[in-house]
Amino acid sequence: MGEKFPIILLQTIVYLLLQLFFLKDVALFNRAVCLIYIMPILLVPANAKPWQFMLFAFATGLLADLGYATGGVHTGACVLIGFIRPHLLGLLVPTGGYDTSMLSIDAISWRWFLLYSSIMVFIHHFALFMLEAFSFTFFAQTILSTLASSLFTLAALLIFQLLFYRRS
Amino acid sequence: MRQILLLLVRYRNFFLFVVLEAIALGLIQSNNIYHHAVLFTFSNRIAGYFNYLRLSLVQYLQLGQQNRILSEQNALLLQQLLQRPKADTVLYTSPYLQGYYLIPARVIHNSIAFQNNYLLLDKGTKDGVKPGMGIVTPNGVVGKVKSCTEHVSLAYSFLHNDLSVSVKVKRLNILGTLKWRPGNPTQADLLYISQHEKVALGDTIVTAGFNAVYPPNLPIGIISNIRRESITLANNAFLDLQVRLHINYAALDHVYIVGHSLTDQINQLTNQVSPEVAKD
Repeated sequence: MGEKFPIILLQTIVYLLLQLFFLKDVALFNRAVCLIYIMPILLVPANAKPWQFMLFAFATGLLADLGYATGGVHTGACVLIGFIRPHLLGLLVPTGGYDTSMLSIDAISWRWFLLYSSIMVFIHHFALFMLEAFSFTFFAQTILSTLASSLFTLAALLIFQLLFYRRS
Repeated sequence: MRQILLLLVRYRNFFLFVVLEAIALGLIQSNNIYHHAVLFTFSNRIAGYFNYLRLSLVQYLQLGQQNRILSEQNALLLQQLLQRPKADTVLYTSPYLQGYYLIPARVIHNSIAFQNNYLLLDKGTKDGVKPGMGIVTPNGVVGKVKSCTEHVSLAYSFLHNDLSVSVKVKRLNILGTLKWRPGNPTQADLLYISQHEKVALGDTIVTAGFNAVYPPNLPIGIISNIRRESITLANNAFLDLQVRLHINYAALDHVYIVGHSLTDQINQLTNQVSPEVAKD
């Protein structure tokens, strides 16, 4: 994570600004929100130390919370995916193994990236909406929001990947 | 210690995760009124449950003290009840009617099987008990104090051949004397009720309250058997009545020793007439 840190930091700032200035009040069908700011978390190289990565996710979530004025809802969700990602990468290990480069749609294969980012986005959104609702009373509503928002975020994420992260 | 450190190092990622999530939860609950309320209610419920557990335990350990407090309170309430003017005498009060006071006590020894039974009570002269005081419960007459030491009193049980109590048939307001008949601790004889009195089965017997030994109008029992032809008394002038007592003498525990502020004056006057009459 060390030598890639400047570019990760820059990406984080850019995506947070994008999130807070342009996507903060966007809600498709009054339900689906786009949380593109987690993109830098997803792209951190696979060999990053788990504790470093978790702290990074924590910091990102904290900044998002400051922007949204939601206390620790984003922080909690980001720390959760920060904890889960090393285990998930262990499950999804590709045939060639991981290298030290940033993850992207081209890094391993687009199928791998789709699976990986879907799982991460879903977990993040589910944790986020659960923390926000803070009860199981409206569980169906929570799940619906989670699914709709996950699709929205994932679509935006793939569009950004195709637009800005293709090597060719 | 080293094991704990090794454990911490081995699961450092998990512990970091727990710590960071705890921080996030702390932020959530301190920045959001709704989350704060939910967490507060939850922790309140847990704290309440543990408080309840602790309270039930402590309560159990304090049962003895609680019993003592309750019996003292009972004594106070009964005393107020005795001193309260009755509806028909509301315009008439006197130091005599308001002079009763009660001392709560517990029975530490009791017998019912003999012809002359005695009680031991756990209060003595230090608590203000004097020989001659009556002993009651809300269910009736228990006995009369015979002698006292500093902390213990010996008392005649009502189940004693020498003890008799002045009573009234409540409905007819006629006087009689209640005396235990040896053999059955649940029955007593009601004596000196004339043949012409229209007593009925189930009539309530209450204390008359003479001589300030027992408070007046304390229910003792009900008439359970009436025989017009008296066997026990030769001249047939009186009814032969049996009374079923309310008190279960086999299970006496909390009792009240009855004192009266005018006992000395009453005894002084009655002794002028005859020293024998002072017995109630």
